[in-house]
Amino acid sequence: MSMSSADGQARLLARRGPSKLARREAIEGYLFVLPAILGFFIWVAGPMVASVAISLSRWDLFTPPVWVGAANYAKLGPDPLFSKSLVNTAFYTFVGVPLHLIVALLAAMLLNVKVYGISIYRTAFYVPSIVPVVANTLLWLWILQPEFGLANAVIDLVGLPRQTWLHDPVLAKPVFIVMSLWSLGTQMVIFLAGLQGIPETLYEAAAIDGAGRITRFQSVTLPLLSPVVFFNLVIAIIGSFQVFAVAFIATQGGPNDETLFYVLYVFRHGFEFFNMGYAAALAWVLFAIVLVFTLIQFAMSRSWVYYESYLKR
Amino acid sequence: MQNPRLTNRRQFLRTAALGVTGTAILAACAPAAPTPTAVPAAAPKEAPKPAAPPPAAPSPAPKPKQVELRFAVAYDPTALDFVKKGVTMVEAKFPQLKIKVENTPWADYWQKLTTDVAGGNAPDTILMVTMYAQEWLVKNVLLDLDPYIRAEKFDIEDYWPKMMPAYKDKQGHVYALPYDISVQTFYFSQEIFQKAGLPAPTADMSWDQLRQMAPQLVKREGDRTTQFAYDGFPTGWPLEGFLWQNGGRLLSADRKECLINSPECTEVVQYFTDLRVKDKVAPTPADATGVDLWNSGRLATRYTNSSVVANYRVDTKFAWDVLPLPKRAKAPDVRSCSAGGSYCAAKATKFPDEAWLFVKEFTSKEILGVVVGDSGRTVPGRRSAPTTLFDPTKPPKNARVLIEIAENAQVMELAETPYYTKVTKAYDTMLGEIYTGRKPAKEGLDEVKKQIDPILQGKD
Repeated sequence: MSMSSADGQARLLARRGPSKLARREAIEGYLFVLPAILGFFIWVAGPMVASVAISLSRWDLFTPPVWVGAANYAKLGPDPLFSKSLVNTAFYTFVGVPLHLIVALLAAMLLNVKVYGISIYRTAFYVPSIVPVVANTLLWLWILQPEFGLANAVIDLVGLPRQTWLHDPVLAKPVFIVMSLWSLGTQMVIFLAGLQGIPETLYEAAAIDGAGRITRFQSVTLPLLSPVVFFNLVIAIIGSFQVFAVAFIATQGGPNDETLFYVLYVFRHGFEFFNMGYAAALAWVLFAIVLVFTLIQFAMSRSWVYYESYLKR
Repeated sequence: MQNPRLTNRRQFLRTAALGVTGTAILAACAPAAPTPTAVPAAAPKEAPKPAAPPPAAPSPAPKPKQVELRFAVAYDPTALDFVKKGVTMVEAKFPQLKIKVENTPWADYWQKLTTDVAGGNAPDTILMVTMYAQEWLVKNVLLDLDPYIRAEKFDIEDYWPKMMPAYKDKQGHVYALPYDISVQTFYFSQEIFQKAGLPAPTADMSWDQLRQMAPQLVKREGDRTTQFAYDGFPTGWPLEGFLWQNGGRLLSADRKECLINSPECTEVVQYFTDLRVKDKVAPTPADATGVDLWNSGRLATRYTNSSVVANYRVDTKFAWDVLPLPKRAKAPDVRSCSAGGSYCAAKATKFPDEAWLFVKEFTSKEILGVVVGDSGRTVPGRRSAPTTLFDPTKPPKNARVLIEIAENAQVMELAETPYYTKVTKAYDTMLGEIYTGRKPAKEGLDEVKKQIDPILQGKD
């Protein structure tokens, strides 16, 4: 078939449009994704748009909203608890997330060895992350109970002064970070999957070249694991900006608002003070912060995240 | 040949479409929702009169149409049993009422109620408390009961009169009827006083006298305090009563200014801080976390709500009794402020007449005698309602002082404003700092006044 006749056939097909089968399959495809699309617009996009309008209003949920323009956003600056909750959350995020990732990676490496019964160890490390947050928090409250708790019993054994843990304004936030390490299972499993995806041959080649354990980790493991590290980092930062349940259950933001995390503050305004407008403004500021940090991470990822697919192109 | 996969999908879609159509047809054929009863403009309407029987074959009077009322409450299982008993009594007396009790744990109750009301799904009748009543009232959620009260000349004098300001609007219209009254009560372990060789405290004891004897009530083992003299640091709604005892006020007369940093108020806050920080006779929050100091016999005295009497009767295994709070010289007659619970109707109810009937009946002397009186939880909201609080076979021996305290206790002034939640959140956080010695009393109270004033002036 000559080129010109093939072009003519293609033009003819294009004029006729897609076949009946293709159209039917397209319709069926759309029908199948319709619930998800409708769900997104009704439950996510719709409320998001509504919350923009709410953030520009004064609304207590009961009486009709009153348009106040940017007044809710203007109140953020002078509000001492806005800045305090932001600082608390930033501390939790920027101290907690790196620590969380390091410990999760170490645990994954530890569980990546081939020993008898390794699946039992993996399960044991993963189980805390599927324990409901309420049960987890109550367990920690028992551990941290100042008089009879396990934490002070251990402190006694080493001869250090007893601590009041969550009642201590200095210690409360670090204690929350330590508590968060308890549920590192999800990230650990993702790291483990990443580690198992690294070809053994690369380690062998590096070993033949004389690379020691540390060099192999730096030159083989880390670069090949960097997409996984990046994924875990993005998810962990977004998640830690939204920390809420543990503080809500354990401290209600105390002592002295030292564990008043940002989402807890949003909740307080929304569902305790019924300042829905101010709560929506707070939520949008958080969204902007998280978005900016995520974009920065994506921009920076170009310099340290290694994708094998780049080489194939 | 037809692709079986495609056929299956088509069949599935057809079946689904048929299912949806069938459901829609069935829904269209379903009986309509019951129409609401007519809402009176001002006065409640009379009960429907039975039709005149035909002369030949007299038939029984037609049963009044039954109305189901949703009743939102927040009780523990024990209290809920008494509430259900009361509901059964009301339903037996008024067959036209069918009450659906919707119980939610206290911690979630207010959020659920908020969501229900905001979502247009308000319960018909609602458990309310003095602290939040004004917040709900200004949101226009509650039904004005005044037209009913006036039309029926319903006597509200039997309800504790000092509780009523919390349930009235600025025009004096009543929106809720109390079911109980709670006051601050001083509890003491007779056992610890005996072992310490001290006479049991009396109603004449002052706070200064308590502080003087406190060291003798404390036991220490090395660094650890195993027995404390006193626990109870005024925060939340009880705070006002403590301030009044020293001649102070939380709010100015027009309720627009916070006076918490006055010398009288500062002195009170300093007193309690000193008990913990200076004298070390009272537990820190850490000492009391996860430990029931009272029931484990490690606490000589405490103040708390009168409503814990029922629990102490069951859980406290040593000899104990109650008294009014110790006195202060500046206002020796003031022993406590008061708070309490009530029942009200939602403005959005489709059955306001029936809701009023239920609220009125559920706070009657007979029903309160069962729901509150028999449960022995608190002092019933009507003075005439019988109660098992004074059962001589059970502690506390001085139970009658609860009535004396209630007679004299004013409802907190903050309950007359719609700012309870915000104001208490502000001062509770600061008092937590002061009582633990992390913030000097004067400095902290000056700071918190600056936070509270804009709230009271509606600027926050």
